[in-house]
Amino acid sequence: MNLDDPKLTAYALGELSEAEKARMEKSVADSPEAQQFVRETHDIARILIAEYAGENQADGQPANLIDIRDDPWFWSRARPLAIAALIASAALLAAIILGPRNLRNHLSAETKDQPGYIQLENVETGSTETSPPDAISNPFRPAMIARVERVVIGEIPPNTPESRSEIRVIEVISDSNRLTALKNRLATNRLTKIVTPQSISHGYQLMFLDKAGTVVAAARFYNVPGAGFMLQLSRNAGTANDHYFVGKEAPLLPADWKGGIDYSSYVISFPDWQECIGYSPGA
Amino acid sequence: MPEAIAPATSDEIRILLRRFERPLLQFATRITGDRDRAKDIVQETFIKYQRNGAPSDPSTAATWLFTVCRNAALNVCRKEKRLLLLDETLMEAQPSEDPLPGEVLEQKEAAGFLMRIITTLPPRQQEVLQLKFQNDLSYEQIAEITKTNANNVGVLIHTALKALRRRYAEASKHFVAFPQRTT
Repeated sequence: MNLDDPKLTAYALGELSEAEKARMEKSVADSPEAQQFVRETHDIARILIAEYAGENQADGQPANLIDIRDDPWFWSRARPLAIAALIASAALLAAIILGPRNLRNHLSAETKDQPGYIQLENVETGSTETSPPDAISNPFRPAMIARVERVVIGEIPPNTPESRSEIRVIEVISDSNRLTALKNRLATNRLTKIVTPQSISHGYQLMFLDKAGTVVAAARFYNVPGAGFMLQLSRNAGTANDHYFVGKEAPLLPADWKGGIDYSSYVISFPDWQECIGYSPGA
Repeated sequence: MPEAIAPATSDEIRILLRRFERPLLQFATRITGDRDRAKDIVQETFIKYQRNGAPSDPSTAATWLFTVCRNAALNVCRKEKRLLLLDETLMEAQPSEDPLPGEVLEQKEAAGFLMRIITTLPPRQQEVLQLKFQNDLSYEQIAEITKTNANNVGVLIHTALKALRRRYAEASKHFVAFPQRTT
């Protein structure tokens, strides 16, 4: 089968008509190379989706402008007024900072180059600093978690560099009951903020694998004295030749990671760890 | 250009702003290379949507918004004599085979690495990748927005992914940043 056929990529991305899809399915079924190509296309598509999503998040949060912007009155009246007010403010500020001699040049540059859009953002978003939220949404997508068919549990040996830790595998879970319970727990919608005590010295790393053995999600499992057992999501994890790795130097997992959020400060409470895993860190 | 249907309601605008404001801004920025111009273009796009009316079905609205936004961005390039994406030959140009600056050293940072490779692809390929993977548009929708046909979109995406896969694999060969197990 010709792996350089754009139809094969279209098949992997779900872009073929039903008839073409049926034909391609037969061809792919007979070709391990084509199956590998489709898997790789899925992998790269997942990474692209995640990275574009990350780019979106890193682009700021203009959503709070919406309620005003969609009001017809806003477009006809408030926007010019807001711009005029800002120009006036800029002029006053410039007069104070730059003094009379530079005012004209400064103002003409401001009014000529600043589009209204920018002015509006400045007015409405302000420059408030907000403290981290108490809860955030889980970046792992349910569809991705649904693909999990195995969970590798391992330990991170002491004195391993945080940026590149290889997991020492303890167990691979494929029992459907434990797997379902683990997936349900990982799919918890909200992560809650926690102040991690310094006393945590030991934990397990969970690697969630799909049918092809690709790591689709990962989390650290540990006990917080006084607060209970927790799952802390890992941003980076990967596998190579049956070795499993976490840390900044491992691939970024496909998920809706938001910029500006420290995910190590958020956890999923894990009260049913006993039925999922059965042993606890340090035991 | 898709046919205008009826003036958009506030609810429609609210939903579409939430969904498309940032993707359109990034799309227009990639075409013009100018964030401020891109903001103007996106604003004009939504004003046109509201004043003139447009399809309310989300998938059709997406095609409408990206088409209008793209046309406006290309108009800015023409008016300001920017060469960025106007030249179709340039848009179809072959990707650079040169390694990215610091590719070997920085490849360990898998996050964002693919996006850096994307910037070395021809603009036309970057454009279709963005429409496909950021905005989940179909080949047909992308073809309508970029004024080509679905087959050509398929070829562009296939070629782009092939280049990405090859560059990513090359980088991954060096991605043995982890010590091998010895016990």
